[in-house]
Amino acid sequence: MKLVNHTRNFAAVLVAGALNFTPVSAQTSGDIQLNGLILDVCVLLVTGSGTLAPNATYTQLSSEIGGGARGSATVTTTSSAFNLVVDTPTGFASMPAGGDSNVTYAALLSASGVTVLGDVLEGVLSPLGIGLTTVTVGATVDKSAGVFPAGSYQLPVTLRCESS
Amino acid sequence: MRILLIFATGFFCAGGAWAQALSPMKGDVTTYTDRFALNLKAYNPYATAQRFTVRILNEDRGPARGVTATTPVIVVPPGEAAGFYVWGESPGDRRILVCLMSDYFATGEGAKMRGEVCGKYNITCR
Repeated sequence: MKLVNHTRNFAAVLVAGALNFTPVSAQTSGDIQLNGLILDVCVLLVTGSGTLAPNATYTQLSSEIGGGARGSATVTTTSSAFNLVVDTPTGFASMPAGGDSNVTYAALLSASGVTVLGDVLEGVLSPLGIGLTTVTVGATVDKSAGVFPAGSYQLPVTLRCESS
Repeated sequence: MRILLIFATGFFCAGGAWAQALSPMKGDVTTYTDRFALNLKAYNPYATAQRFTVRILNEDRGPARGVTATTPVIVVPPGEAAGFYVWGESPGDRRILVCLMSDYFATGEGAKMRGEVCGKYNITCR
């Protein structure tokens, strides 16, 4: 009787074992899920700094007149949670003596692509669309008394992408 | 206190790929002490190594008192990222901006331009 019970138990173990070792090829299909996460991002890439040219009377240096050129940048965003702004220039980084007296600075930006902006003045926050925006940045320096003396000038301008 | 700080930082950093000049660029941090810490990454999308200056500001764009970055300047190889920490005091709830500013680029005559990206972070004290 005991032998019979042992045999039954052994048979049961064998059956269970067989079930557990079902060949892989007999399995049904399974899904593998690949997860990804994109955060709110803003990639700002300055691609050109631009050129300031003098006007005919040498009282203005500007990217907006003949011989001048705007700076350029690209901005890529993954959400609408960002603003673009160009800071007000604070002054020349280098200039000849007297080059920075009686002057006022101004900057502006325009954008195309997923964000369309036309000549937005410095300090004004502009919401960015989602995707690639191409930006141009212009600057003008006016001299209210006298002329710009000969020499090399360099006006720093900062373009900023910030979380809203 | 240190353990709680690490927890707060850890939650903030969980998940996410970086592909920008600063990662993450926004976040809510809960701290159970009067201090907080952020773990951020600076990413260089340019083709040459770049030097980024870290600026930490209050919401009104004034300097944020009692907040420090691991380093005020980070040099990042092209296409790579470098991690840094920002930590400080938060006796109450506060909102700070962490900005990464590139050096100036000068490709023309008379003008030079730089880019800056600023992330916004809400610090909540429990």
